[in-house]
Amino acid sequence: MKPRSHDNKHPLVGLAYGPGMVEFIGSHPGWVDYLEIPFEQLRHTPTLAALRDTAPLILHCASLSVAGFIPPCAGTIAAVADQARSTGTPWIGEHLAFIAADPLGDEPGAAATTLSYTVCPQLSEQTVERVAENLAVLRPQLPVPLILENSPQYFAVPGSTMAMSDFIAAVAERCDIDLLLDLSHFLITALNTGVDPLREIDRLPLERVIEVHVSGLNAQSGVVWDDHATPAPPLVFELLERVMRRARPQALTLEYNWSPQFPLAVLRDHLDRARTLLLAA
Amino acid sequence: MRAAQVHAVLAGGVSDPRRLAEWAADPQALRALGVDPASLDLPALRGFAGLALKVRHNGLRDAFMHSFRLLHVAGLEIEAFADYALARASTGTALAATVAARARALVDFVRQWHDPGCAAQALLWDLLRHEQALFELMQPVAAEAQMPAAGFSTSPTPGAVMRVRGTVRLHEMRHDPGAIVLALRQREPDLAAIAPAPRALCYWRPPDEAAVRIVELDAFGFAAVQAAEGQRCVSELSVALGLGPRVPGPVRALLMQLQRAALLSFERRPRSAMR
Repeated sequence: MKPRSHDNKHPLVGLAYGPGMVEFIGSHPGWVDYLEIPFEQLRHTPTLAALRDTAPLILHCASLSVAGFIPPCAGTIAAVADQARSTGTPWIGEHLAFIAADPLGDEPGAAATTLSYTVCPQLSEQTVERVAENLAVLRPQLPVPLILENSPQYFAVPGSTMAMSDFIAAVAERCDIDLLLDLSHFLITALNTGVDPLREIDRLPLERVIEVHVSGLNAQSGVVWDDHATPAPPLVFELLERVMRRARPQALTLEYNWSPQFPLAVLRDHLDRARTLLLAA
Repeated sequence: MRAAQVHAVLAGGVSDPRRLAEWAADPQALRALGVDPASLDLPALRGFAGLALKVRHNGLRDAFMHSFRLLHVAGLEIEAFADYALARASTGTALAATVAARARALVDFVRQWHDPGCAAQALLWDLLRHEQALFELMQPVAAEAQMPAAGFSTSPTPGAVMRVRGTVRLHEMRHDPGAIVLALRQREPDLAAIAPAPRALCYWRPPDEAAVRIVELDAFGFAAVQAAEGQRCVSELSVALGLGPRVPGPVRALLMQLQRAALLSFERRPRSAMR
């Protein structure tokens, strides 16, 4: 089934860049409104900028470490700003997380620990204040608004004094910033921390949600993990329905970007379901 | 607990999972870093290190699609990659840049990691080698396969040097990889239903062919192709098999079979090489 046509008044439905996605867009005209592309991939492979000829681009980022205590270097911030200008992205989605931290121990001159994957921060007033400080430095340097994406929480972070929903709400209010609500991250957090996702979703400042992410998850070794290689479970779409009662996101991105074998029938079905839910609200 | 210290501990544990084992054995070490040991779920942090490493192997999913599906179906993804993260930290090696090198490193890890007594891990070990053989042999023909014949074609006489025609990968499997692949294509794969079926497989890309053939060999054929990879002569093979330098007729007959199948060729060394 071909999805309904859209215009600028309606929310957009897009795909996260990954294997097979460009080909899918080429073979399914009218199905996908934009491609969400990671800043890190654009930086590593500048030729990917040509993807803007395939679809409008939205920039996603995992390098700014907004909830961290080690700021990104000036070169990284400048590169994010450059990519934002060159892609024409309407905003930059960044994780409410950290990717670098102080070195362990007190060896003089030791380098910061930098990871390849963002980590859920301590959920506390300390971190809220740190996010505010970081954003105060970052936002003036970026040509478009930054929106913050909720992290998946796999374990209790030591020293945390609030639940994830409270942390997100506190950051949003303290920093007056909009949100990228990753529903799968939200569900993962709810399942790993033992809260009812359908109740908890109403505790979020949903009116601030600009973009929504949808992907899969899987339970292994007693923990529920993020998984962009598997389809989102029905509960994610149920959560989307709940979100749409209060929120008017401008975009929804399906993040099925880890595996070239992601089933196309499922991709089509989820694109259709997502657009239908967004338009019905 | 100071947030910056907590972040340093989390990042330190993920970047070098050996620390997680140290902290589990000596909780005071964690306390000395400013984190209450009771507040940190070390197994989950170890799993997170596995997730982070797994994601960095997404580039292998195309060539190793069934191995990744097996890891997922068997619930082994996080465990396997968490152990791999620890092993990598122990050796201090950087993640390889190319898909081929990253795949080789992963296969090397699974070689020593897997427990043959665990059905799912035994299946994984077979399937991973199966997909690696296909992946490697589908690459542009390696120089080894393009080497010109050194001598003159002959029959499998005792002095004839055996050569593989094309490129091969030899694997002794405990299961039929085809059966594993078939099971994994089901919506709900029943891994327990895959019975052991030991076999010796030769993945063979003949010269000037794009396709890879999978030839099931008996023990003799496997030894013969192995010997041919080392470019040994027929009498050396016979000695290695415990049959003495006088090559028995049945051995010659079997070698001729492999020659007729175009898998092996036999060459007389040129006189210059014999001096």
